[in-house]
Amino acid sequence: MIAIAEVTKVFRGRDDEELVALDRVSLTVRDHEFLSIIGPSGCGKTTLLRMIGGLIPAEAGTIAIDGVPVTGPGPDRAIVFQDFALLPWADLLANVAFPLEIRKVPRREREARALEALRLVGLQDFAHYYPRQISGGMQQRVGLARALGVDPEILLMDEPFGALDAQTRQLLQEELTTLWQRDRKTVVFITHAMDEAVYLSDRVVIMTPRPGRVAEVLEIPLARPRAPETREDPAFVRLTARIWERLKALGAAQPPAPAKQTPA
Amino acid sequence: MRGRDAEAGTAPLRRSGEAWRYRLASLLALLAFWEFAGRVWGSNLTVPPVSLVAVSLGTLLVTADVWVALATTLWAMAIGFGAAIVTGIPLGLLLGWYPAVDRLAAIYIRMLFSLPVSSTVPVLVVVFGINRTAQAAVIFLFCFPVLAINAALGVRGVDPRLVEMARSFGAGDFLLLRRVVLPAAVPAIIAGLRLGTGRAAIGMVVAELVLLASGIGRLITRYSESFQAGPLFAVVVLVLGVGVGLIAFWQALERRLLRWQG
Repeated sequence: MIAIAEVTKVFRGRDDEELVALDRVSLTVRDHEFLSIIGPSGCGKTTLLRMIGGLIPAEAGTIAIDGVPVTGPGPDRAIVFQDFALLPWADLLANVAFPLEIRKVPRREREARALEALRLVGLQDFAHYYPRQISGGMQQRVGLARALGVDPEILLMDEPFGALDAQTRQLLQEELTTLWQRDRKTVVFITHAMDEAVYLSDRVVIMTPRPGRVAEVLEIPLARPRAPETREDPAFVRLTARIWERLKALGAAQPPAPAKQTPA
Repeated sequence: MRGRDAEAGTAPLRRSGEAWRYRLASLLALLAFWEFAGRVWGSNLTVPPVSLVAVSLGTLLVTADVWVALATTLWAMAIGFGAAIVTGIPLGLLLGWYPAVDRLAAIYIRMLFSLPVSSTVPVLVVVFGINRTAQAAVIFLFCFPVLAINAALGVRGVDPRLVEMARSFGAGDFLLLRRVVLPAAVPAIIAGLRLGTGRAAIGMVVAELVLLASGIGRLITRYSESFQAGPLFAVVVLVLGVGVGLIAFWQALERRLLRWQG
């Protein structure tokens, strides 16, 4: 369980102007839950994810995982990055094996485990390709395999499909929900695509921009496992529309369709 | 550009073939002009025609003298340049990575970089004497700053998102430097080695012509003082050839290390 209590984060720009990225955010992520956080840019959702990942400290408030306060990165968590963050000079196998290398897993074992993780995302035949030789969708599959390869309890996904085109994005959503169904890891998924949040999640957290606050937590009672037909379920359409209404009311007009966006 | 290559798979090959034709044509034109200029305006005492230089080079290359001289020169260069490599690159990596090291040392390296190294020769003579060590020190001073500065630049150019990725998986400083920062800095480090080679060569000339006549420098002095323009130019051509060889070596190393860039 991830317990986020009264977390505040202020960034100071030049001239000492303050930007309140997160304002007393409280939230509980249950074990084996797929939780999405949605909101327009500037709502601090990525900041919150990086804080859960232990990459940046909280200004005030606490984040605790199973009762232990987060003070830095840990083996219980793995992040999937929006811009993939693959090492361009390493082949896919070495990229997926990299976190295992950090954890001092012997070479033979880490390569076997990395290959197994690549197999999960269907890229076992591309083990010795370099990142630049494969498409964006394949690169993010590698990012996912790298995170799954360390077998974390919590998967932190920072707009992982944000840099991909609509078709690839939908394909990866389907692959992700299938993978998640196998072992139901706790997932915190940052997105600003409404249909994506509904399709994947058990709950969707809607956030407001500047300062970032929790506006609403929405239960998604759609049947599991999710499949392409889920998108035609009237409840799916209704829930997506509901998020849209809410975001619009918050003055955060975003196009309703999952549009391709440029990576940050 | 990659897209265009993909459309016509043979295009890069043909283009590099064309590049060679242009290079060959310009080289031939230069040699022809040299031959012409040497015959019309030059003489065996001033600028000899290229054919005479070629004959001199042929005669020179079969003497033991020139090989001993070349070995002496390259050995001094290897010592000075080698010492600069093993100290300058690690220092540059530290400069780029630790802001504290940068604040402490960067100003001295920049001073050293803008310093006319030739002017330090008297000081080096006082410190080391007129000997091989002083020669190596001159070469060292010439190429050390550029190696350190380039390595530091390479480190600062590392993609912060990759650093964050490695940190998120728990990487410590050493692993981060070895597996993320160092590979990212390789292109800048190699650029530094190439620039350093040129500066080491200048250092070599200063060391052998100003400080202590030895190796190739002594040959050059001998032939110029005895007005043997043919052998003199032949030695210069030989030095040029060695320079081209060194640059080709760094290019081959770069191709090998940067295969992933395709």
